[in-house]
Amino acid sequence: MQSEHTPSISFTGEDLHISYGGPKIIEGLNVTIPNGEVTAIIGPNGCGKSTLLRALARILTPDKGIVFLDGTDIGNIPTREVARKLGILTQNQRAPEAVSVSDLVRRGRYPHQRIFDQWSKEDEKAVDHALEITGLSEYKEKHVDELSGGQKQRVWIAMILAQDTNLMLLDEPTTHLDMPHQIEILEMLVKLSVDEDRTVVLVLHDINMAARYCSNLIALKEGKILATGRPSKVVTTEMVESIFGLKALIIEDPVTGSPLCIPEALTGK
Amino acid sequence: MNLLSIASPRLNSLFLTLIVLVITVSLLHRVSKSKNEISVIRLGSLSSRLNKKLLRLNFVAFVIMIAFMAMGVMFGDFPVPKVRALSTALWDRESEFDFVINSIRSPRVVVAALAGMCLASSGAIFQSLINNPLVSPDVIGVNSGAAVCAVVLLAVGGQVTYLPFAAFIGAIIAAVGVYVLSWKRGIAGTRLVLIGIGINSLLAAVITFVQVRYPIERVMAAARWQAGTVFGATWDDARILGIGFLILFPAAFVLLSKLRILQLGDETAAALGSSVERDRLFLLGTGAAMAAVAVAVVGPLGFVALMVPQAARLLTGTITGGSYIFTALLGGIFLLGADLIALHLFAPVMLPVGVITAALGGPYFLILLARYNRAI
Repeated sequence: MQSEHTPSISFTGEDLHISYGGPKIIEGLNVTIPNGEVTAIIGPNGCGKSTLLRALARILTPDKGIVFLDGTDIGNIPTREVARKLGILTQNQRAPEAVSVSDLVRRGRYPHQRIFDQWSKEDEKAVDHALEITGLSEYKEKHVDELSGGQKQRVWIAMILAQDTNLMLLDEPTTHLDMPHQIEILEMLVKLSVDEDRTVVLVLHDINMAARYCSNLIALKEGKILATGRPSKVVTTEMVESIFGLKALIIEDPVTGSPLCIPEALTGK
Repeated sequence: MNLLSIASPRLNSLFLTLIVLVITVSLLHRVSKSKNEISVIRLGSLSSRLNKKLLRLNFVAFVIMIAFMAMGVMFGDFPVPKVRALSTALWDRESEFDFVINSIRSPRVVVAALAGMCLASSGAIFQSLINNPLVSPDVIGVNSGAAVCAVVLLAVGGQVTYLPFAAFIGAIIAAVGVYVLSWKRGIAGTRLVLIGIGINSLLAAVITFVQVRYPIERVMAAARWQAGTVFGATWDDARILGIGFLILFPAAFVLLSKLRILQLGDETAAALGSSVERDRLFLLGTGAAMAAVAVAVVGPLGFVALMVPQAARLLTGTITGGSYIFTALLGGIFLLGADLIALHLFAPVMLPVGVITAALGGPYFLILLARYNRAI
């Protein structure tokens, strides 16, 4: 699929202010998503991680500020056109009753289809590719409700893979999964970014998983960016203390060499 | 009418009904158990998937529906030789049975088939769109809206010929009302069902009020219509339904790809590039109009729109173009079958078909409520 992607995209948010009609969740935030990398947004519960992700994906309109996709205000691009460049998987997906795996994954092709062009060669190729990458080819006739939690999560990822976008945003794709399944999903996303040059943005709450699999981190606290950059730069003793209020020991992961955070005690803040 | 006098069903009708029912169900069940076979059609920039299993299923359903229509033409109180009945309906305009067949029985079966198809497809749209098997036009107040307008029209001395129009308007007003009341940053199935049930009882109260307030003989004229019946259906009725069906059914068919996206929830649909509010409004509008057309002609016939899409889903799975057509055909079969039962089971007494659908649907609705009560 990679040849069909535009070689590079630019994706930034400028001076974003977001509230749900109440107190500000995000205040005056500027963010740039590096092209072709896996970026994780990390931070404590309620810091605005998901909110930021949803605003970047135009699911949520900011009170003020603009998200630029390839230099254009995302709000001014027809939503279907955005959906051909940017896919987002939000949390808590619920599959319709009695839907099969391949049926659900096929629906990811919606932005590429027209009324009388419902199953082109590209559609078929993209869906087969998505099922293959996620290892779901043999389950494609199964009903989604018969699958395990990890398999279900892969079905939804396959759906946005079938959407075949250069930019993939995922809100906590590993939550509720056991460790092998978390690793499976994160490795798959890293592979996609490396092999197919896709840009991936994740919201993760596990700082160690983020440091291990992502090349770029954005640390958020109370709606503001505290730090951004390589994991070795962001995951430090001082930073972990100021983001999470946690006194921690940072050691080198013996397997990957990425920073590993060992909690010591809450600092009481 | 003394209810006791109709208590014993005619044995041969009962027997025949049972046989036909078993054949129909087992035939559909068998075909639905065969494997999915997908073939792909691509012509230039046009392309589509075709599931051969659904194609077969639709063919079988279509044949069954035609067979039911033929039975509706052949059987009746007035003795007409079976073969003559068919030839009269199809080509023999000189037949001495022309009036019985072509003015009474034929329009009746056509109306039953079309009304069943409209109601079932309307129900399929509502249930799939809201992802809730309880949401169907009759539950969310479309039928009661039609009934109120119809009863008021007759009670104040309006012409019976205006009844379909009054009913249609009432149905649409009720649908819009329920939609507006349930809208709160999007539509949730639970809220829609609860508000629909509330509106239903409110409108039922209005009907009761009109019934006690106005002269009984006028109100009685509306009573039979209110049960839901294809009795006395004319070619004019068939025409209204036919035109409505030919406009609305293809419209809904084209909107199905949008429906399949909206099923994934508002956020995912928006992420995939759907204009969520606009698409949903189109779909609900088409669904409500389809139910309204049917109700305008045959009366507030309950439970068809609730039950048939569920049965179709059991046989075909989640909604696609093929399963949508199948749902409609199953609706036609169901209403034709119910009408055959209503006509013959207690002959010579004819029941309104709504009594049969309600007798089947009431218990079904209770089971559904009990099963899904956690969702409400």
